[in-house]
Amino acid sequence: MKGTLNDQSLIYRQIAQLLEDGILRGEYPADTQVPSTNELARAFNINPATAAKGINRLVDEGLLYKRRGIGMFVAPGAAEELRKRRREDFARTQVKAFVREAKRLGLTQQELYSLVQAQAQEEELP
Amino acid sequence: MTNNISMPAPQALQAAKLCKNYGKQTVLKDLDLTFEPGLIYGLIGRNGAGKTTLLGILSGQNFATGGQALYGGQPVWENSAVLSNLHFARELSASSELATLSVKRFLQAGKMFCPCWNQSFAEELVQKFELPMKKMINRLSRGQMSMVSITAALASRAPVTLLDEPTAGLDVVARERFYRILLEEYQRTGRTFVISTHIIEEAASVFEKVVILDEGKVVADQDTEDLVGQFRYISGPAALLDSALADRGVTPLQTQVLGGHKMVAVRGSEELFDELAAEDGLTVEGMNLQNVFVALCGHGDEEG
Amino acid sequence: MRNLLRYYANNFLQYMAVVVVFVALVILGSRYTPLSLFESYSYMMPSLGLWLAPLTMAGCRATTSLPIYFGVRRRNTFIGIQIMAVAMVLCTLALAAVGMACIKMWTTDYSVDLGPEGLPVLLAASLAMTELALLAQYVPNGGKQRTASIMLVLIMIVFAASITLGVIKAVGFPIPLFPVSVLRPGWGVFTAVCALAAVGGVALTWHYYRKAVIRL
Repeated sequence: MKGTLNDQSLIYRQIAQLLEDGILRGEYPADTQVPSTNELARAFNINPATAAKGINRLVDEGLLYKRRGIGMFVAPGAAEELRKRRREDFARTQVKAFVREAKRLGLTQQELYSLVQAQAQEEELP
Repeated sequence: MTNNISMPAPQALQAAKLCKNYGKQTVLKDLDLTFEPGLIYGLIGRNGAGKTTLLGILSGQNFATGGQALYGGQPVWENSAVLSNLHFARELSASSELATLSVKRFLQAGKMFCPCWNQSFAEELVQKFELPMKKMINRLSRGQMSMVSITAALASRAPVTLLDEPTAGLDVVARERFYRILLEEYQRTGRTFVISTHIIEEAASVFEKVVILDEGKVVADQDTEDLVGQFRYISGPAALLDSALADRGVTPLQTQVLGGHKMVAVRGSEELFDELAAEDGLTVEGMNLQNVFVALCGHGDEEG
Repeated sequence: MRNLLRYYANNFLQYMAVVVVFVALVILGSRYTPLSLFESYSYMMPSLGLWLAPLTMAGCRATTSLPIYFGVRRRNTFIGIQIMAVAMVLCTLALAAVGMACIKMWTTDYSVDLGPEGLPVLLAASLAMTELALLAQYVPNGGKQRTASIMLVLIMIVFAASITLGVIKAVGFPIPLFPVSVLRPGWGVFTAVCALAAVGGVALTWHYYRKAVIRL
């Protein structure tokens, strides 16, 4: 119900994810301010404490830093750090699930590779 | 004027060994619970779990058979100094004894008796909800009755405000609007709110903490997201699932069997869920608050 | 407490407005119309407190419960109700007395002889009826409907009796009950019983009111 939030995973994780996506897409470059707790709470109709929890998670991970009395800012190098982390995560979970599904469908390694190759060409991966 | 806040800071509202019987029927049993100041609580439970009774006793509207309600350490019952800090918005109905009053008289009484009452806020809400001031409460629709008690509750500016089923009879647009107004007021004032509701999922993101009541006992009282994070649905081939759970000494809360496929609700740690997810053939899925509530209170409804 | 008194004063004034209009109508009616309707009404004037105040009290639960909803202590609310009830009865009797004096002044053959000795009887009876009407509102669920209907029937009987007495009096038929005086043994006992009923009513109402839950 809450705009782009869904109710199947924890709200604070979704808030953290939302900000991470923004940083990755370059919407919040290094040293720019991200939305405040209250702004997030208002935008998504959620408890401000939950929004704060999402922001604090990124602070703990060093992706955001606090300027006293002003707000939260994107740490330098946050986008690169995130990209690195998402790549590791991609290899660990998504690729694993993907290969498992292929196994269930009875695809051979060669068939899987060619499928991936075709899609990669279509998406014009370098 | 809505920003003009002159209200004492909220204090903890506590149930100490509360018991309540109606004749031979026991509704609350030695209930201990503390609502910490300045948070929004969700109070959920099945019909007859004792929510209204609990809120009534905590606000001095109902009396306890045993134990007592305390506010900032002071007894609530018949204590003027404490009662003026509490507001209990009851669910009005056409048969309510207050239903023969007009909306205007009802709200006038609020203005007269609530020491922190904010009249301009009340007027703003009356306008927003388009309440017919001259109509008697029993001539209103169910949704309008809810809006009347919501208006009084919010305008009372009581440091601790208890709302019993405030969204009853409200359509989805009005419910969203209510939670929006509630959150705005919360951010403005830091009042404590305790909200009981049956429409759990859309309210879950508003509740910082949640209390689940089942048959007069507290079965959960914690941070909403921490609670929800402790639960997962695990599914897979029945034999594989059973042995995976047995190996780790896990008892499922809720079981659903479909042929050789089985799904269970499990309470546990992040590590346990990671382990189960790593098992080939098992699927681990997150829950929402409503699922958790059903897993905890849906006893007797299991299938298979 | 000040707000509470103001709240009950508002309700009291609404009630008094009804009494004033009623008394004024009867006075003007007996003065300017030859209708016998007003004549019998004028003779039941002394009994005004016996049914008007109780009738109002029998339908007051919303008014008496509302302060509790908004966090007023029960003891204070109850004291407020009692002040209002007694004020209602006293002012009704006073207005009735004024009304009777006016009618006596303006009409020739009006002979309600309610002396100072009759007033305590009326006062005790009116208080008893009013307190019992209030009690009927707060008797808990089991006996509630029954008590409330008994009370309503009682009010009706008193009302009908007053009308009958008014008519008989208007016709000029002698009745051994009159004059009403606390000094006559029968009326003395009646007054004492009424006073006891009133006090008992207050005590019992408090017993229920202090633990009353607003009905949904």
